[in-house]
Amino acid sequence: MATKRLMKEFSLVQKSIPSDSEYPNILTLQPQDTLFQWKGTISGPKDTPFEGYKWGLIIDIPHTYPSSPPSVKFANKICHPNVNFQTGEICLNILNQEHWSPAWNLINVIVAILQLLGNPEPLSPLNIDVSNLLKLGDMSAYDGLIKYYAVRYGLKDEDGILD
Amino acid sequence: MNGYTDINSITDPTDFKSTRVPKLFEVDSLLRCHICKEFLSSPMLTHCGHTFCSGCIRRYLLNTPKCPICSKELRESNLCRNVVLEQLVISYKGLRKELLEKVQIQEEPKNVPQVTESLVIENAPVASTTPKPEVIYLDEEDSAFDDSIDEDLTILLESKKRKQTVSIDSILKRPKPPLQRKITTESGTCPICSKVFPIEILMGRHIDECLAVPKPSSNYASNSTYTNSHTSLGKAKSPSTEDQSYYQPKESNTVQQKLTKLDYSSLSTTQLKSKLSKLELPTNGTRNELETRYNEFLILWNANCDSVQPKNPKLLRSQLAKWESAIKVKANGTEKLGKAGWSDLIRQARSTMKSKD
Repeated sequence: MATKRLMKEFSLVQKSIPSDSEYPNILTLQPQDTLFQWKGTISGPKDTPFEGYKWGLIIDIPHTYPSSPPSVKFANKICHPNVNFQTGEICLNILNQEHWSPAWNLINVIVAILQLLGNPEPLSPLNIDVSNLLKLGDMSAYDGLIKYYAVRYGLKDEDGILD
Repeated sequence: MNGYTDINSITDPTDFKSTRVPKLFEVDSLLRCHICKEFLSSPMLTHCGHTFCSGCIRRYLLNTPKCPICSKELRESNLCRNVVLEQLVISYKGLRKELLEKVQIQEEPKNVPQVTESLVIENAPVASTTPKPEVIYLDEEDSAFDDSIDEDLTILLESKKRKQTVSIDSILKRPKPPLQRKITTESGTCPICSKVFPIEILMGRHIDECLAVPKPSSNYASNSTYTNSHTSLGKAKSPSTEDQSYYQPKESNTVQQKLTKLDYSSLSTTQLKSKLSKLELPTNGTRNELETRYNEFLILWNANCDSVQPKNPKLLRSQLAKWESAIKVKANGTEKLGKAGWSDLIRQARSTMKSKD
């Protein structure tokens, strides 16, 4: 069940990434040794402090997929209120069993993560320092801190894309 | 990614995006299950109006009692079969390859993904060819009619499954239709007897007839066979006579009883094993494996009960065995699957795909 569904997703991803203009910020998305481990590369969405920088994503898929959600974390450090700075863990409700729906696919998940970059939720922080800046409304400090870490840890062009 | 050489055998709605009729993308995606993204197999309607494969939704509800789309509370008992949709999906699956070829833009090299469905009609005639009326069922009189009448006769004859019971007299009485009449597949429901007819017959004379006779014994639709085969009008031109069989759900000889969920907490391992052996399932493995095995078989079995074309229980058992070995491969080899193991997984996926069709 899971394998078949993941084959389908792989086929879809091959057709739509990166050519589909619907997902300009998903640079790569592909399975690794098995269909149950994927890696992806995203670029920061327009009009957010993340714009112009790139991050890798590590996706682990349980064999009960799509009944259970995939687990996704950032491969390199990112400064965001809802991302654990050390581990890359993402606080996103659709990645919890409780809110996950089997109707979603991996592309939907990545689109949701891109949404999260532009719409942080400071009330459920995994990175308290930067979410405090957001709560206080100090946007220049917020943007500055994000950019500082993006320059430092974001994927560089010369790194190529994560594969 | 050597293992993916046959990725083209996987179909998805985007196949239609680059064709002359990109809107078919919507049709294709609407006939698919939200969970497995495959064409709906034994579709079940929820009380909140969403539709999933019987197996997919049952498997999901085992752990989460809510609708995957709208998150409303949902139980297995709220599910209801959707037979028309199932027939529609079967019909569409049979047509898909041909349809895709027809709408493909010509300049492109024909790189039509292989459709794995076995239902594809081979060498089906082009839709625009004039259908040859099956004159053998009529006497010589038929040559006196123009094409349009002939077509109607053909349709009617086919609809009656070529029984001689068609009352030709009643057709002859029918006034000649206007010359530029198109072959239309539209049908409407008679407001009086609420039977379905092609719109022309309905408006032309049926309503009058129906009003005149208090209890009409219609010549056109005395049973549901007419409406069933009418939906297949597009295919009625194809020589394949097997097509008709899709639309008449075969009554299975043995009425299959649905299995019920077990309360594992009040069941000893021995009792569980006897339940499994009653179902002719293997009884080896740990307690946990026994429970998973029963659960999966429950899903396969009940989903099969919902199908208009139920499979042989033996097939379900071999499906279960394949599923179990796939789970084991995953459990043992998640760290690192060699190339061999990887292509093995693909082979398994393909074989389940084939056996499903």
